[in-house]
Amino acid sequence: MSQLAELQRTFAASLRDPANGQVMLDLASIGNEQLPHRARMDVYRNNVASSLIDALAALYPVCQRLVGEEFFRAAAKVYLDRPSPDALPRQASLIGFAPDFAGFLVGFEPARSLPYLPDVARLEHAWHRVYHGSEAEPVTATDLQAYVQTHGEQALDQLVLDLVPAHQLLMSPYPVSRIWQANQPGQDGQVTIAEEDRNERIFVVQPQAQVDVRRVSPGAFAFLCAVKGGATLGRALIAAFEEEQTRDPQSVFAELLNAGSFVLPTTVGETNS
Amino acid sequence: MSRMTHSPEMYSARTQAGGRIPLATDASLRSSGLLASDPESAATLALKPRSAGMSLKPQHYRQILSDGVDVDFFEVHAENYFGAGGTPHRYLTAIRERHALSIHGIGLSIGGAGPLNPDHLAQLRMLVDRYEPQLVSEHLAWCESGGAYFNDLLPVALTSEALDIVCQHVEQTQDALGRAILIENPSNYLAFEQSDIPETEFLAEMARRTGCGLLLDINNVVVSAHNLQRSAQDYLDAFSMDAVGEIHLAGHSNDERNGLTLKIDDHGSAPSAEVWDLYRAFVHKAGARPTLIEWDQDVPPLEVLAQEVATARTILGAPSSQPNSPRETNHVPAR
Repeated sequence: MSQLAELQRTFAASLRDPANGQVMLDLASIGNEQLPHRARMDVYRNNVASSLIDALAALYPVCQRLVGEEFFRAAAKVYLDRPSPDALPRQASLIGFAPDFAGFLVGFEPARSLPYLPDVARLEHAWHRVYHGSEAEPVTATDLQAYVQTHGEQALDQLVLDLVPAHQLLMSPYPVSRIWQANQPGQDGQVTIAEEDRNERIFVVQPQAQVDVRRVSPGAFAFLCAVKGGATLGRALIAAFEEEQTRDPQSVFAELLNAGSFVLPTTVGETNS
Repeated sequence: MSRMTHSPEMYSARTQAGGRIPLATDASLRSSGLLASDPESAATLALKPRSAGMSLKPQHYRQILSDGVDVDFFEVHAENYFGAGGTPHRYLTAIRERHALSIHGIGLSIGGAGPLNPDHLAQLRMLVDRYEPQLVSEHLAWCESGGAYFNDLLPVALTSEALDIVCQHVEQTQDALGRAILIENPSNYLAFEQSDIPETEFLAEMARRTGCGLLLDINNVVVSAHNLQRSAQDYLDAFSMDAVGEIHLAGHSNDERNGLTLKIDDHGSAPSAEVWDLYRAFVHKAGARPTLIEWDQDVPPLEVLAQEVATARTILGAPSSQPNSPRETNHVPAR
């Protein structure tokens, strides 16, 4: 191993483990010992720890608001100190960092009194994924009319659409989107929960410049899940009806279509254009 | 304790009202002086030496597009735009259409002993190809070891071995991007016993061997000089001024420990008076260079950044092409 590699390996180890820092004290030197080496090394150690805690706070701001900054930072520290190869980021960009923070919170004993917290974290992660997600031109009603003209009415029933690439689907037994909404900057954090708000089905998409956190009906959610699973349009309509018989599945589909939820599969797009 | 690293930039964008990206009318842009020239110019021209820019922050996206801001260029951290698409790219695309851009990487680990991460380099290349920035820069630092990333700019031991490795990494990056990059001098909290090349020499030799330029961060000079008990002025006097392609000006904080103070490079305030004085003197001596007001923590309103940019512009605008003229020496700060 080269000298530089050996030094950096030691330095890296001491960043994570203060006891290991003693090795560093023998390596570093500034020629003037007014300020102890440990204090200097601590700047880097502190930078790494606090910058990653800050990163978690930036990724999970609603969770932080729900539990308070002090609690959140303590929890974040436990998360970052966990013995896992993924405890530190595996890439320089922090986009997508800490995908399992919600899973960590499930088992985090001090947060037990907030059973909805992990699902709020899941929603925040979903928001983050969509915020950075890839762009696509959603299919419109006009596009589908053109498809019918080319291929006939029957073909529409057999058409397999895709969801827009930047999307997330979530279910929760808690009103997490209401909690999330009420804890956005400028909101007072108060949530009034009706019984029908309790179980939530959420579709996170970005039709315009803003990420949209949508509560959708059981039928709409079933429709979206069916499309995501590769079902034909006809099958997706049936799935929507089975889940929510009080709504016309065609209107469920129309609403989702107009909201820019779908794209044509590449093969269809190519033959049409 | 605060520090110069990055946090994912997205939270602040949530406070913005929904809807389409607002676009200022041409008339409002003309009146603000932003559309004075050919719209193509943002894409085609190199930065003029007297350009002054600011960090581009998500909380300012909408205001920049709706109201405009009097600035010559924006600078972004490359890694905040490594996502496939979404809000950051929509805004950066709209802003790039009317402003010059500098892409500043903080995570390539140029000073790392191991090989560069090919995925990172590929993503950087995609970003540079997409936005065609006027400037691309990175740091003399490392941030990765054994596949773990520390989200911090860590110090490089300045040895001939390190110089060879850094030069190889700079060349590899320049080859991948098809253009020269700038490398920034670090802020230091300690120095290594093994280091046997002065930092200014290390940077100059790297620039000479690879053809890269240097990004002179004057705040880093002040921070390092204080922390390592050296002279900031001596450092600047030894700096390879001809290689400087950009200057960074930022703020730092003071961290008290047992009655002793370390200066922490946190980019969380306006540049200090000392930074401004050294900047003024450097511009006077070396001539104007594109200058960035860098502000990453506790980001203030856009107007505050614009005010700092205006201050830099004033200094850049001062005649500096005849450094030996007696009249000019009057501009040199008294201290």
